[in-house]
Amino acid sequence: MNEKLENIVKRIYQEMSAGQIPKVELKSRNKENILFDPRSSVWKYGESTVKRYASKANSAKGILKMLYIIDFVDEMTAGLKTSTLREMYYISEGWNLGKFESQDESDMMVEDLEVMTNYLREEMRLRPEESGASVIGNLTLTELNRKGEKKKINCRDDVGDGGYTIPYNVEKEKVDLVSADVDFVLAIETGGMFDRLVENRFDEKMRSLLVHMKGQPSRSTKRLLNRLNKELGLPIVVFTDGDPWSFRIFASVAYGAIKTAHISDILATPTSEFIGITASDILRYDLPTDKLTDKDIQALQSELEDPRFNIPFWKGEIETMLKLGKKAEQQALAKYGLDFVTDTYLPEKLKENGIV
Amino acid sequence: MTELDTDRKEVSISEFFDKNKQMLGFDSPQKALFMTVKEAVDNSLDACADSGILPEITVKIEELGKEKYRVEVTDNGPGIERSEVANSFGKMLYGSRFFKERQTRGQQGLGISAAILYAQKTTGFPTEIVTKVEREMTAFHFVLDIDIKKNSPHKISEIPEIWDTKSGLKITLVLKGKYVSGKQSVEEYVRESAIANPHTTFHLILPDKAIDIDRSVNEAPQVPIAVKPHPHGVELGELISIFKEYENQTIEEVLEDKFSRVTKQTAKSIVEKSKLKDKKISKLTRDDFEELMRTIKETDFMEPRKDCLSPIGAEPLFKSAINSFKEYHPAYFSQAVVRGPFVFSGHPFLVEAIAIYGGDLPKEDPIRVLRFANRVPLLYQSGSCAITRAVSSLAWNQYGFSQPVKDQLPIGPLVIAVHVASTKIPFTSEAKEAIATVPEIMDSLDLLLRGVARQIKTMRKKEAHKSQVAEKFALIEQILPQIAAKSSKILNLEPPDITPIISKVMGVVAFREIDGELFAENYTEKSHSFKVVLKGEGTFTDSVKNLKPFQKVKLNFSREIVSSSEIYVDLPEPILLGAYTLPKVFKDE
Repeated sequence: MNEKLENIVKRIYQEMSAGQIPKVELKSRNKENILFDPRSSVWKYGESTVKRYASKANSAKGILKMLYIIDFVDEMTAGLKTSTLREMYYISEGWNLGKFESQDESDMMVEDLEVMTNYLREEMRLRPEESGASVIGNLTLTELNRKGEKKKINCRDDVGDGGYTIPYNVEKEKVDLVSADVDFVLAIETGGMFDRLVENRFDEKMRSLLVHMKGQPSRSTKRLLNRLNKELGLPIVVFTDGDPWSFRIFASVAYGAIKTAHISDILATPTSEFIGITASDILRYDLPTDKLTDKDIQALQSELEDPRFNIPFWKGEIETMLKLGKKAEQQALAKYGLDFVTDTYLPEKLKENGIV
Repeated sequence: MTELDTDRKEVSISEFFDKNKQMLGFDSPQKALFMTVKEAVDNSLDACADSGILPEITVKIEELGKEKYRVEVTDNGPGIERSEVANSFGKMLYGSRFFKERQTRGQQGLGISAAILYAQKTTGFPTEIVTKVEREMTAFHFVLDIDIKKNSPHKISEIPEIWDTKSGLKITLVLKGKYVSGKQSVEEYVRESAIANPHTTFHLILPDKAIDIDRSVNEAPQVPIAVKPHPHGVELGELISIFKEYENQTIEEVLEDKFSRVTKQTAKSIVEKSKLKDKKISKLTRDDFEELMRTIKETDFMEPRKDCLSPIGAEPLFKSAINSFKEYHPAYFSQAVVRGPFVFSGHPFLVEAIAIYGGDLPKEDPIRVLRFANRVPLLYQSGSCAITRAVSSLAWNQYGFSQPVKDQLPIGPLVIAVHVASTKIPFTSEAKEAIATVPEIMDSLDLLLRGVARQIKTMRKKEAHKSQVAEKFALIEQILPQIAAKSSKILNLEPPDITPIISKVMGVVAFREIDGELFAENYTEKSHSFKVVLKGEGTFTDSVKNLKPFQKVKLNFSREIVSSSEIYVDLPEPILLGAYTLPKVFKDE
């Protein structure tokens, strides 16, 4: 059994044997204890911790639920199985008083275990619902498949136009990055734009690795970007729609999210660059736009307060967008033809940002 | 009523109906459909009550076309003699019970004839009536309408028919109407009728659904006794009518014989005081009658008889409330409370109520008030009704309900059903949709509602205690043992002994109800002696000597007391669970 998980159980058992009220202790997951660390440019936990004692019915139930999860993870490890978070939520139906009230509750408790043990839930064989995003480009890796074989895959030559699908677990024991013959990674928000760049063979023309993020990227997508950057030294370039929500996608790739502050180090890539669509692009390329909604405006205003956007570039872009009252989609570039994005827009912007 | 009576001769019945549509309740298609069902159902219930039959009533509504409906109401009542059918149904004002006062649903004989006339005027269809009385072999099927010019019933046909029933009556009308569900609908009317008439089974066949409501008690209520009017309860017009009926008797004789609580002596002194001695009734002028009325008002009489009222009764009301609201899974029903009889203006009345709380009842809406007058649900004019006013005027925040606006209904998952029974319900108008705010009635309602609200308050407090206790016991009896079992199983070790943890987690003397009995359990590390006081409808005491740690004792209270009382114990609050610390004032009692 996994040692850190076993230690949690041991402590509970020992406390009970000693006639003490059992408890679990973990870093406080309160908002006040999650701080933006300006040095590493990511969200991190502060120093305060909480103890949850089994003297109240609710926290006692929490401890019981945690024991059930640990036992379940142990069982899966023995049987070489994995389960989605949702499956575990349904499995908990049979856990007596350890049954979860909602999937939010069980997801939260898995995160608690991550915070306590520094194990990733992927390592605990628990995976999210959403299917993985895709990669196309000259990257070679090996993946341990379900037969237990290490399979070598080149993400340009061994895949179809859909690309290589990122599995839920991209840790080293599962995915090994062998080599890449590209100059940078382009992480793209929408499927339409990803397919456009694939069709236009942008990966070959600009020696790039294309990653489709499928909107807000999943943990495994962010983790893969982080490893491509750290292990292969590839710059990460983020290409999204031009609206406040897409700005947040960039921020979460670059600086991490509050929910995953305990693993920011391995999920966030602070050196990522945002290439567009910027508010200035809307003016510069005279792009077709939509009006900002009230919610968009609120989101932009709260971004002005967000420490992740507290640099002149972002302040300027957010203010420009507010002044314009307009937003634009990636695919608005098609105004100038299907090849404009690959022949003109991206080369110009990449050059200006010093990436090529 | 008397005014209508005299008007009748001057205007045609049809004109009268048109002028008084609103008063009669036929002013919109929706209300007309509702009124038709109401009049028929009320008649059925009254007929059954008179003959002590347990009613089973079927209401069927069929849509025939746009705004055109067939209403069929069938009962198992005594039926009507062939010779009486035409007059009973076809003649306006037939059957009013003069000179006798009694708790009945309809106090006039107008209702069903109005429905027949309305049907006839809006669709041209005559009304069909099938009736069977017990002593006849067959039923008789009548088709009749109303001759509007003569204000008299017109029998179109009468044929014998086989109806396999001991006795009963079926009335079928086709009218212009509008079927709705929800508020102020036929369904609501029947559902509420079932609450006020627990001895009745209803079958409701509506255009979009069918509903069966079984009776919740199997005994017919006592038949209300008819009594002579109390002199303080008659109006001038009524007084005149009574005297005109007995013109060949003396004033004294009529006073003594035709009114209740008038002795020979009193009758004599009234006549003398009114200076009407030796005057013949036929010679009395309007001024004479007014003088007589004045004297009567100034005279003291014994209070009217009160045993002539028929309450729903605490137990039947409780049962029918459960029957009607069980689908909401309420957290609790209050006991039904009956108060009275009391008297207003010479008329006896009583009030009764029950409250239903919690479960799936809406939490964010104003509470629901069900109003009943002589067992008839009141669905309209709620705002001006004495019952609604009395409920609204309670200071609900004292009972744990939020009342955003003073003198408005509070918010919460609560239903209160209130019944006023009287030989004469003081309605605000002839439409009989709301009870007037007569001071005596308001006072009695206030008292009644306080009692019911206090019960709800007590039960809610108990509920809070109960869930606290339940949570703690779940912790020590289930959760902690499961933690011990699970952790030892994962580690492959023996389960640890959790007794020391239990006393650490609890540290209290806990009071817990198990199957209606009250137990005290000591989860502290010391022995305790204490007094237990239960306060509800009364105050009950028990004491416990030297209860040792981990010891449990049953307290000496009956289940009823336990279920309706708050628990007070003379131990300090921090070591109490499921009980309040006994305040000093009680300690000395």
